[in-house]
Amino acid sequence: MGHLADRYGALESSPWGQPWTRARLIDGPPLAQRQHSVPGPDPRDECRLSTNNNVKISPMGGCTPSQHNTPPASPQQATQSRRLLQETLSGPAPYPMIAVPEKGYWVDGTDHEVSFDHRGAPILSHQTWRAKIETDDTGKCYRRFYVGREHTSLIGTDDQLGPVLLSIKTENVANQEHTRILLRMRIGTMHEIVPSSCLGDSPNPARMAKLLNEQLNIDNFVPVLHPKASQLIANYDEHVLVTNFKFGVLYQQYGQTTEEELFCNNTTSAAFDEFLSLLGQRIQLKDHKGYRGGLDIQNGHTGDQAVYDVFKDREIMFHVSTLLPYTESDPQQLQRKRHIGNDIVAIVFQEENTPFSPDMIASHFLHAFVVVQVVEPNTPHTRYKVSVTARDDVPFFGPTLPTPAVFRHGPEFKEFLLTKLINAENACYKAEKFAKLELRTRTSLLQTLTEDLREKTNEFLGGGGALAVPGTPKSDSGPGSRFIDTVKKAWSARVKSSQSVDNNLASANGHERLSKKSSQPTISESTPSSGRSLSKSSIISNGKKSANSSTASSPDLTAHAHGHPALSEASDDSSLTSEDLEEHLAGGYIDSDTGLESMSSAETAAKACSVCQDRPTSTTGPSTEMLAQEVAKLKCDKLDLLRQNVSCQRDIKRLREKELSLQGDLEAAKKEILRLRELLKDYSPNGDRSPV
Amino acid sequence: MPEQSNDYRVVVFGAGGVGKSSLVLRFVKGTFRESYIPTIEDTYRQVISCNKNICTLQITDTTGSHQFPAMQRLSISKGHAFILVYSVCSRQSLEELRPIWEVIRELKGPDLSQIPIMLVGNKCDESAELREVSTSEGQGQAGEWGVSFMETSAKTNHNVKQLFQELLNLEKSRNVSLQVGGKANSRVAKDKCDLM
Repeated sequence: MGHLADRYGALESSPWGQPWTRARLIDGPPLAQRQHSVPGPDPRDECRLSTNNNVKISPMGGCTPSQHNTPPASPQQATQSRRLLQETLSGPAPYPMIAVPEKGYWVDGTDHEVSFDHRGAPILSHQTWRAKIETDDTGKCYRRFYVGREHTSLIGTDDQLGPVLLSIKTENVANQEHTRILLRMRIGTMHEIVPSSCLGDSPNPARMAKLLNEQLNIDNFVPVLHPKASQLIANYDEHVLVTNFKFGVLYQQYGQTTEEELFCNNTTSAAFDEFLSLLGQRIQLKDHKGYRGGLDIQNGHTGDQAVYDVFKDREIMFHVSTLLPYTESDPQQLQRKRHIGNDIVAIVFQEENTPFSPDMIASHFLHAFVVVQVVEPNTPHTRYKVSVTARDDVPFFGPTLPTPAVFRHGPEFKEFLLTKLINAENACYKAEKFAKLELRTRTSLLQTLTEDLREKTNEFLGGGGALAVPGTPKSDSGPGSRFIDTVKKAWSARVKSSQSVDNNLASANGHERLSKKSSQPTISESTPSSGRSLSKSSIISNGKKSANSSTASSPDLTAHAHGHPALSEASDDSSLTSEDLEEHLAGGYIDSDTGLESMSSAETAAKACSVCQDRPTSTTGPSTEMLAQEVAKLKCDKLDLLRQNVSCQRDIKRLREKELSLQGDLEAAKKEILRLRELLKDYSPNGDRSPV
Repeated sequence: MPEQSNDYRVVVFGAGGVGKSSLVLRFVKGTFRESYIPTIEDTYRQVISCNKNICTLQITDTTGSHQFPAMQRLSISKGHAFILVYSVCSRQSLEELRPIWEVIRELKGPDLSQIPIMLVGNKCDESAELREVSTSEGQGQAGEWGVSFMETSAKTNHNVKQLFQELLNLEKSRNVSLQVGGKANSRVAKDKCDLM
């Protein structure tokens, strides 16, 4: 034991810095001086010991008495842990599987009392647990529900909570329109699907975001528009997904109380081999093609064999201590600890009844242990007692241990064990150390992503600055017209004057469509078809505004205007190119539903035309020009509002219908209740009051 | 801690157990710890001189596990200089640096030649029979990657200070030095290698 004391005694000052990041500003004398200083415990260091786990140990030896927390198995703790185990062992058998330190860890599964039947076989309960893997699948939502389908992504910034990326789409569920909302913030991503009626009369992104997180106050949402946006967003979401796992497997013999003893176990046993065969397949590393979990599959530097399994689409590599190389001269067994010590979850296999303590092993990674003790190994009654321990800040993870927590050797136990291990690791990510790291990573990635998407959107739209500016006051027509302005700018350069006629007509007809569109949440699409939607709106808006920008030739207008060029209700992507518009105009069919709109649009068209007619050339002074523009714009705005009015009325109608049908249901239900009451009276002749 | 724009960020990568934490601790605190305690991630800060101004040297000691690829990529994109550590007693640890090197090359792209990168063979104090990678091999690997090379021992404090000093000397875009101002101001410009 001497060498151990030497090693621990050699620790001069604890290396732990400030809490958590352990960053500390070293001001004062330059480094060189510091290096020449007498080695010894630096009182400042003691005060800055890491608080990155909850284990509190009273100071021992020469440490300053200030309240500090030491990480697992710094010298004080290793000695503490060993002492606890020795104490436990000095008492009478049977020993608990896990000797819990006073603070810092929780334990689950301490009831292992099994009764036996008349034949002496143990009575074990049948499967009472569900092998459910507890993962957060939010990371998969975007690709699963949004990519390749019509949806919208928007970026906003909240003063407190930072950048926000929202993805929304509408779906039809049980014949009712729903809105699927995916809200990404630096603190995490939320996903909900709500009936669209929950969003009120005029759903907007700010309201949707607030629905998922009350504290969000964003008035500066802008849409994301870029063909590659989906891919970037999906990559961000998926950075949290884990499909490969590596778990440590330690072998503990009776009476072993230190990590050195655990790592130095060099002989395996039939019982341990039997257990390993349950975990997975024994593979040859040099032939291995799958996930290697840090093991060497080329030169055998980490042993020849390992245990590996594919379980529910996840690859699992086990770092089995007895299969990793043994180094004669190294009491720490670095070649083993560097794998197992870097695992988050480990199995401890106990050959006999002996206690294990979770703080035996010094490592910042190891957070949870599943301790398995074999009973009657290599017999038909081979069974395993299971006990679980984890650091205090690791939340509970299933499946729930049965009572008693004893399993027969078999596939059922394997399923339980692997599920438990996977859930353990996922739970450990919520522990303080890992959660903080993940928050930092996510914050940075989200910041970069939102900046990137803004930039790409601006580039794509030809550098129009409007979209990049958050928080501009809303114009009276809402965000739709701002968007139109920008799009118009981007496309105005490309419109030839000869198309002005068509465009003017398009403005009348197409504007209906645009208004229809803007009454729904989808302003634009971030799917690859965004290019097309752009051309859609651009032609429309361009037409609206170009009344003055190009020489208007009127004769054609009057000819077509009477056709009441109303286009069909069903917004069909393909129909909104300028050529298609011409077709429709030529066809000139009327959609009865849109009688109101078509009339006003025709009116507008006529008026617009008369405006154009008034100015066959653009030589009439700027002020008239501007006024004409204003008028045209106002007319279009009016159309917008009429549009919205119509759709609101439609909504009201729909809701009224729903109300009626629900009332009908209510009536029916009431009648049924009355009928049942009657029946009840018939069956209780003594006329006492029924509880109904 | 929030990052400042005048931080100079050095990130230390390498397989588990090669001595990353030991090197950093030896440099920052002058101490050595024999017992191996796997790190998740630690950051240390130190005031240094930069273009005759004060700035902060931030050293990030990373995990040897491959647990968090996203975090690793982030460290690389934000880093200014890199130290790639292997153990001369473990050939595998040198091989394990290759994927990290490739990510650095990917993320830093065309600027790669401007970035101070040091390949470090640690534990050079170990006896000859335990050594698996010779000095010339290490040098050859560094040459292949176009990075600098050094062998160190955190245990005996061999070449540790020089490692960081040399790394800072490789930084060409600004004049970073371990020498902090004060009365030594006049000497800073003259001889950067001169630590008191």
